Amino acid sequence: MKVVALTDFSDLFGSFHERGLNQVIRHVMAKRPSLFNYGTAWVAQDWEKRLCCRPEVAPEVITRSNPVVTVEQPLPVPGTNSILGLNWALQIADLAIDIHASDRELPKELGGKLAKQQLALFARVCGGIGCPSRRFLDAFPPVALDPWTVPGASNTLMRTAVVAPPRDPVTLPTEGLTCFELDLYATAHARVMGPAGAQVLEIVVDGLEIVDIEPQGLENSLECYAMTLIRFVLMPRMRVLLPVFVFNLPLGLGSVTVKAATTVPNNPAAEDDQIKLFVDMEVGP
Amino acid sequence: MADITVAASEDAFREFFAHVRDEFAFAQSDSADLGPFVAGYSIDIRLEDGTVDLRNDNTISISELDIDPVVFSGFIGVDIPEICIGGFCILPSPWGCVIRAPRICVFDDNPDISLSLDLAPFLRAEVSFIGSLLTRYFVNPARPPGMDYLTAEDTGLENQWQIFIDTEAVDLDLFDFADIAGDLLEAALDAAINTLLGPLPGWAKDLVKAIFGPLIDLVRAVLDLPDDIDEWLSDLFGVSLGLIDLIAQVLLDFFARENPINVIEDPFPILPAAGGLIPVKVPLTDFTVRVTDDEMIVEANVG
Repeated sequence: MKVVALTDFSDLFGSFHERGLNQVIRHVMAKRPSLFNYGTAWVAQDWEKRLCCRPEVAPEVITRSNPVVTVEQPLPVPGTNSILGLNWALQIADLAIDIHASDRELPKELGGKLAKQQLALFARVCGGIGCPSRRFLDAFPPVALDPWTVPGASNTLMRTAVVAPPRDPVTLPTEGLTCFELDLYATAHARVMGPAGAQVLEIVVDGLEIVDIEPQGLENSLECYAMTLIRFVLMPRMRVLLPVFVFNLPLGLGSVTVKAATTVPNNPAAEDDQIKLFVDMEVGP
Repeated sequence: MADITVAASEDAFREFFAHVRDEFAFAQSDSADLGPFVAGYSIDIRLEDGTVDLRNDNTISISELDIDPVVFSGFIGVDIPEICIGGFCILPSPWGCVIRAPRICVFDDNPDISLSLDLAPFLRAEVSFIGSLLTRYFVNPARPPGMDYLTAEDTGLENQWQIFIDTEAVDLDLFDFADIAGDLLEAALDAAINTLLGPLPGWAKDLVKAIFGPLIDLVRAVLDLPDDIDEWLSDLFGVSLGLIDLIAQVLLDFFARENPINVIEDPFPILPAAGGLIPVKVPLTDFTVRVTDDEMIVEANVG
C-alpha cells in the first residue's frame, strides 16, 4: 500500500503542529508581555506585586528595559467629568490553541468538542479594579453638591456647595487590585473568499463562551458584547490576502512563483492537530 | 511528529530541474600568450536531458545531464622561425657572383599559422550527481561565551542552522574530446603548412621538405608538442588556460558546493524589534532534512 505523501495534493506543503504554535505563543507572551498585560501607571510601576496574575517574563525583557505592562488611562468614575479614576489591570494570562481533533473538552455551549476543520482558542483572563480603601474614603469625602429640593417644600436652599476650581484628574489610591479570573473559550474556522490570485483568508469565530459567570444574564451579555466586538472590530482586521511570492533565481535562471493551491478542499486545513498549507509552484523565465 | 514540517514534491523538483537546465547558460572566452604561440578558447555551454530522482535512501540523484557546448572553439597561432631558401650563387666569378638563385623566404608573418578548432561537435560531456542534504548547527566561533542572543544579533554573531549538499558521487566526464581534437589539430597543421608553402615552386617545396623534413615535425618542435598530442591538448586547455578548472568549478558549485545552500538564523525571528521593544525570536531544534521516494521533507521543533 502506497504511503500517503505530504505533497499528494500540491507541489509544496507546510504544517504547524499545535504544540509548536503554543510554544510560539508562550515565547511571544514572555518576550512581548506588553501585548498581553494592560493597566494603569500605578500597576506598571510595580507589576510583580500589583498585577492579578503574575506573567512569565523573559529575563531579556527586564535587562533591555522593555515594558511588561502597557500603560492605559485610569478607569473613570462616571459623573466626575473624568476627574476621578480607578486603577485597573486586564491580562491575558494564558493563551493556547487547540486544533481538531480536540485535546481538551470544550464547554457544552460550544458543543463539547471541535468539529472538523475547527480550532479552539483558550484564554485565561485576569483583571481587577483598584478599590479605594475605607480609610481613604473616610478621610476624603466627596465634594458636596446642591441637595435635591423636593417640589412644593416650603424651606429654602441653604447653599453649601462650593464651586470647585478645575483640577487635574486624580486616580484614587488603593492598596491593591480586587482581582478576578475568567476562562474564555472561542471556536473558529478559516475560510477563503474571492477569486484565484486575490483570495482572502478570513477567520470566522463560530462561538464564544465565558465560563461560570453568574447570573446567566450577565454572562450572556458579556459574551454578546465580546462577540460583537470580535465580529465588527477584530474579524475585519484579521483578513489576510493569500500571498503570492516570486523568488528570483541566481544566474539569471528565471523565477519561482509560489501561491496557495486552489484544488484542495480546505486550504489552510485545520486537522490532525495541525494547520496545513498547500502551496503550488510555478517556474518561469 | 515535528512542530514544523515543510515538504517539496518530486514533481516540483523535476519541474524546477527542467527549468534550471533549460535556462542555464555559461559563456566564457580567454587567451594566453605561451611564448612561441598563443592559444585561446571561446565557449558557450548549455545543458540538455538528464533526470532528477528523489530516492528513499535519503539522496537526490541527477543523472546523465548532458553538457552541450553550443560554441566551443579553440585557436592556436604559431610563429615559425623564418626560413629562406635560394640566394646562393649559381655562377661565381673573380669579381663576385654573376648569377644567383632567387631567394625566397617563408614564415615571415607572426603568427604564421592560425588554427581554429571547432570542438563543439565533439564535446559531449555528461554529469551525474548523487547527494543528500545535511543540516548542521553552526556556533559562531567569534561569539564570546555567555553572550546572549540579542547581543549576538546586534553584533552579527548569530548562531545558524545550515543546510549543505553532501555530495556522494559526482561523475564529470568532461574531456574525452582530446583524442578527436588531436586529430583535428594535426590535420589542420598539415593543411595550414601546405597553404603556406603553396606559392612556392615545386622544386622549392621539395627543397624545404628535404631540408626540414616533414613540416608537421617542424611545427611540433615549435609548439614543443610531445608525442601524446591528446595529453598536450588537455594540458593546454586545462592547466594553461584553466578551462577544466573553470567548468568543473561552475558545475561543482552548482551541484556540490561546500558552502551552505541555505542558512536559518537561530533563534528565528518572528516579530521584529519595534519602538524599543526587543524582537521575538524562537529557538529551533532538531532541524533535519530527509528525502523519500516522493518528496523532500524539512522538519524542526520549536524549543
